[in-house]
Amino acid sequence: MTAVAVRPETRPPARGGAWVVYRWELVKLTRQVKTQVVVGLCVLAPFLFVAALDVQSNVPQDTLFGRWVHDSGFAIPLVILGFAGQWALPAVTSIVAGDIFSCEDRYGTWKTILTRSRSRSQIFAGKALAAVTFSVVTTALLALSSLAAGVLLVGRQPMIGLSGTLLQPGHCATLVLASWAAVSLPVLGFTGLGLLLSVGSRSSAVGTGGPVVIGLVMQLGSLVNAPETVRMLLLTTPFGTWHGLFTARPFYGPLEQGAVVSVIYFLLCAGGAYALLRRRDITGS
Amino acid sequence: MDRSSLPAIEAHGLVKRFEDAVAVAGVDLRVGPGRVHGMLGPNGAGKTTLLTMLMGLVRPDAGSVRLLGRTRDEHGARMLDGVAGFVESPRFYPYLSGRRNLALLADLDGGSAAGRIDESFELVGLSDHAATRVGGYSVGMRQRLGIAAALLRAPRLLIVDEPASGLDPAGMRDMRALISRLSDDGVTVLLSSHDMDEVEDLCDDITIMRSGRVVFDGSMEHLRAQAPDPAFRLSTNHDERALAVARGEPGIVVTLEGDGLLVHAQRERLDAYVIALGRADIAVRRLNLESSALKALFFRLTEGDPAERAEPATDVPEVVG
Repeated sequence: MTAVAVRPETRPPARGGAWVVYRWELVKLTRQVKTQVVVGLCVLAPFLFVAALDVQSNVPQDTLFGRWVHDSGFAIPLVILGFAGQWALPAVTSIVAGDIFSCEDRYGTWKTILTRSRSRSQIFAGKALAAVTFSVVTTALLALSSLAAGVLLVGRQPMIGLSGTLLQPGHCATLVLASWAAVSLPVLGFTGLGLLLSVGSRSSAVGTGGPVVIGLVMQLGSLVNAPETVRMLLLTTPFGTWHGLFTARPFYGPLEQGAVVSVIYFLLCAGGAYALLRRRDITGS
Repeated sequence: MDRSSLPAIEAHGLVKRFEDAVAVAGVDLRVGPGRVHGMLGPNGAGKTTLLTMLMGLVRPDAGSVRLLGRTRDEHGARMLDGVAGFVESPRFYPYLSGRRNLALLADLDGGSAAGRIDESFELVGLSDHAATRVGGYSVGMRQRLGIAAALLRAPRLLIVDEPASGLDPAGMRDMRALISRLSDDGVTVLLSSHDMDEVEDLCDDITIMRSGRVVFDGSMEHLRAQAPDPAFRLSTNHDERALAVARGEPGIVVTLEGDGLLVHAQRERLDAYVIALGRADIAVRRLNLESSALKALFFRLTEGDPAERAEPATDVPEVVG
C-alpha cells in the first residue's frame, strides 16, 4: 500500500436511478457462462431440432402442426412453441429471474451493493427489469431462430390452418410471430414467479427450479377435471391461447384472458418480491 | 449547516432483536469528526449488528442513526453519501476481475468514482492483480479489494469491520498505516476489531460492547487510566520461595498458577520484585507479559459482572441471548 492521499469529496446526487442498476446488471449477466449458454441454445436448438427431424421419417403428430413439419417451414416454430410452452420457456426465464436476487446471497454481495449510492427500490427495479429483458430477449431469439430454421431448412411453403384453409407464407410468418409474442406474457408471469422465489427463498436452486415445478403442477392441474375458472387462472393456460389465431375466424378472447392473468401473476409476484426485499435485514456473510 | 463540524456518527437507543434474542440492547454511539473510533467486544457482543444498522443493512427495532448529519428517513440512500466501508469480510463477484468489480461499483456510486479506480488499486497494493478474477484472490487480497472499493467513494466516514483480517504481517502494517493516513486527511474511521493492539495503536476513542450493551465508551486515555495492573507469567527455580518474597513487596499480587507464578503489578513494582528475587538467591528463568493493562480491563469488562461498567450507559431492555 502506498502513501497517496484520498481527498474527501462532496458527492453530487447519484444520477440514473434504476437505469444505472439495470445497465450494471446487464453487464454482469453478459459475463456469466450460464447466460451465454442459454442464449447460444436459444439460437442453435431450433436448427438442431430440424436436423433431428430430417433424419427420421415419422413426425410429431400429437403436437399441433406436428404433421406439417416436413411440408412447411412455418410449422417448425409452432411445434417448438408447443414444446417450449410446456417447460422450456419457464425454465429459460427462471435461469435468470430465479437467480438474480439469490445470487447476491450466494456470493454474499448484498452488503457490497446496498452500501453504495442506490436505494433498495432502485436495485430491485434494475434487477427486475434486467430479468424481464432476458426473458423477452430469449423468447424473441427462440422465435426468430425457430422461424429461421424452419424457413431456411424446410422452406416457405404455405401451411394449412386449424380450420383447413391454406395460409399463405406471408400470413403464416405474421401469425407465427404473433403467436410467440402472445406467449411472452405468460413468460413474464413466470419471470415474476422466479423473482419472488429468488427473493423469498434466497436460494438459486429454489428460484430456478421452483417455477418449472410449479408450471408442471399447473399443467397436471389443467389435465384433471378442474372447473373452467380454475383452468383460466393457471399461468400455463395462456401458453396455448395462440391456437385461436390459426382458425378461419380467429378468436381473441382466450388471448385477452391469458394476457390479464399473466400480467396479474407478474404484478403480484414482483410486488411481493419487492415488499420482501424492502423489509429484509441483510445479515450474515 | 457546515457538515464537517457535525458528529460523523450519532446513534441513539439502538435496539435490534432477532426472534427472542436481543442482539443490540439500547446502544448510544457518538463519533466525532476526524476521530478514529475503535469498537471492541467478544463474539456475540453485538458489534456487527450495530455496524449493519449504522450502514442501513439491518433495520433497528428502536432508535435512530444519523451519519454525517443525515438520516435514512430524510435522505434515503443518500444517507450513505460520503460513507464507505464493509461489515464482516468484503465480498465480490468471483467471475469478474477485480477491476470489473470496482468498475461496476463505481457505476452504482456515480460521480467521479470511476476515475479513482486506478488510484484505489494503487493505494491497497493490488494494481498487479486488477485484471485477475476475484475468484482467484486470497482472503487478504479480497480484504484489500474491500478497502479499495471503499476508497472509490472518497469517504468522509469509513466504517470497517476487522480490516486487517486475513492479511499477512506486512499487509497488517500497511493497513494500519493507510487508516492512520486517512485519519490524518480528516476521514473519520469507525473500526471494529478483535485485536486490542490494533485498536490501541490506531484509535483515539473506544467503545467496548458486551451482550448487546456498551460497557465502556470514552477516550483511550480514559480507558488507560482505568486499566488494572498488567499480568506477567513468571517462572523461577523456586516458585514457593518467590511467592514468599512477594509478600514483602508493596503493590504487587502474586499467585501460584499452573507451573509458575502469575504476577499483577505495574512495571516499576515488577522491577523491584525481580531485584528482590535476585537478592534472595532465586533465579528468574522466564518472565512474559501475560496480559496488557488494556487487555486486562477488556477482559474484566467483557467477562465480569455485566452490571459492572466503566462508564454509565443508557437504561436498556434485558438481554435475552
